[in-house]
Amino acid sequence: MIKNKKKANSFFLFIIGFSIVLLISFILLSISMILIRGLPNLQKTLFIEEIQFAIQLSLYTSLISTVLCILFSVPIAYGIARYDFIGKNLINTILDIPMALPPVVSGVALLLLFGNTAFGDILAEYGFKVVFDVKGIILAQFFVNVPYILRILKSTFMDINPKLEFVSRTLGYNQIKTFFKVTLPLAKNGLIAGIVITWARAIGEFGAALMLAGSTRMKTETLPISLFLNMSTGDLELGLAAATIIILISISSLLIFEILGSRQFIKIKENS
Amino acid sequence: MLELKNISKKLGNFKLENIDLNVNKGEYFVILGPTGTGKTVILELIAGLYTPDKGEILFNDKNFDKLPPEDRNIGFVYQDYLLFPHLTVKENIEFGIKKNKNQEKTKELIDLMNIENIKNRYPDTLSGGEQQRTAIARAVITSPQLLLLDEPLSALDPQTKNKFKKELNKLHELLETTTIHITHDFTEALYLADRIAVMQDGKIVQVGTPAQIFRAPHSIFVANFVGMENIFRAYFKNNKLYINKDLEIHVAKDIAKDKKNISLAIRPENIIITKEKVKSSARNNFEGKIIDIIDQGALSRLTIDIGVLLNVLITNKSLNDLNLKKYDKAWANFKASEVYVL
Repeated sequence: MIKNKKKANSFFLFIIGFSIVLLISFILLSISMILIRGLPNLQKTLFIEEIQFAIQLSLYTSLISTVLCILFSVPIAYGIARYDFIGKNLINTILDIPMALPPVVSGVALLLLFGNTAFGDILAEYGFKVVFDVKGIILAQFFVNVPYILRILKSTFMDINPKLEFVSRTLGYNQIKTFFKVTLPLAKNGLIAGIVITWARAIGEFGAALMLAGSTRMKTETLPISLFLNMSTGDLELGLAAATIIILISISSLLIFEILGSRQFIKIKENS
Repeated sequence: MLELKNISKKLGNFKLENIDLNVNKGEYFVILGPTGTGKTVILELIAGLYTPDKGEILFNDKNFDKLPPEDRNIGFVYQDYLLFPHLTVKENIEFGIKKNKNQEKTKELIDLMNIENIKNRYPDTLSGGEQQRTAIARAVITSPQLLLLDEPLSALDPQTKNKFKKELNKLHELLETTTIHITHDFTEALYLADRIAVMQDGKIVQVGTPAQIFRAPHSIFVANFVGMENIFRAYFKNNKLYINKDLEIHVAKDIAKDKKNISLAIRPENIIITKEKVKSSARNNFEGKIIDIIDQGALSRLTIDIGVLLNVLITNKSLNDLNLKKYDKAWANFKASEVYVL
């Protein structure tokens, strides 16, 4: 009996250990397939014009779309975290929709809105052309990523005791000043984490951008589009270079996110 | 100076009903009541976190309700202090000063609150007492017209608490800021208050000086709250007042014979225990049996059965001198003037 029980317990631990080892190996092996081929050539490929263009376009579009995400998500997340109003749940659900949709579908939706309606025509007439344009990449990244930063900021603001803000108001600061003097500094960690994740996701955004902005070499060619274009034409070296750069960016932002998530802002401040 | 007129507010499970209060300039006003009676909500209404459903708040005869919290010039100290976690003690204290941070004043307050040695630390490294000093310094640095203290001593250990009671008193004498202090601790109220308002279930049931509340509680609730443990229903028979068919109680005050629902209260410290019947000025003398003695350090709490159960506080020295033990017979004596009629 006892022997059997011991055996059962060991088997249980074995299952846990085995699953961990198997999954970790799977992830590391597949990523290293790219890195093994991409890293040695990285220095060389960085001088290729097409890769340089893709890096620049990815940085440019992702920075702008991240700023747009912040501008919209900070007030919305704060409002949802602090105020109760009719239809709040419905609004929350609607704001989450782009996260639930496959990016390709979001891309098609944006394409129809901007390419096939009077609304899109009017915007294009005034110079805001998004279909098959760099602006389309930014818009696609914004549309797909804004729910993620909203979620992070909502929980960040909810974790801040509203009575701290009230104390600030009794000390003579109005709501706006209180937001900048108390709320925002306390939300710093969540805000940085949100920005990093949004930016990394924007760098990797493919499906929606492909639908809305297309995949024109040296025009709407971001890093993931470059990977797609070069893989489909069989130019493995360039494709893997793009993939390697994306992996490096993604892993570093994941690390930043984890560090910020596990440490409190004050402790970081104290240590420094 | 501050006037609450017929204020009502419903907030989740809390309900404040028809609150009328008048606080005078420079007064130390204590609102006393058990936890969960909505005391904090009164302070938050005064400070402007909420607006009342009904009634109005007047400050120097001007309506306060329309002013946002930042324009009310109020210092607020919460029970858990709510220091800004991203700022040091010094930065917390100076938070309310917007322009030309007045080094002089900050230094004065840091000295006064005796927190020089912690001024560069962050709140999460402070003890409860240190947080409290910081929170009070932060609240008074703007010279508020009104200081609101929400259970400021309840998170402290008993020793620190006693020390801070004295410091609050000193601070009030020094700054003369009109103060409203909330507590559930009657001894705290007794020590600090110029006047006390007692709250029960979202209503104010009695307002008066500590002496008035202590000597003449209006109701059984207030009597209980101020530590009168011996409270009994009484009735008239043949013009005499009884609390049970054999126990006639003498009282000093005349009571209208047709008064309904009479209750009598006797403080446990006002009952004198003797071994034999003694001749004294005390007109109420009853023989009974001691059924419990609880040693509380300097004092003992003794329960004596005289037909009803009486709680008595007696010094351990007297208890020793009398050589009384559990189940001994003894006499309980108390003056007619120390029987409170509720």
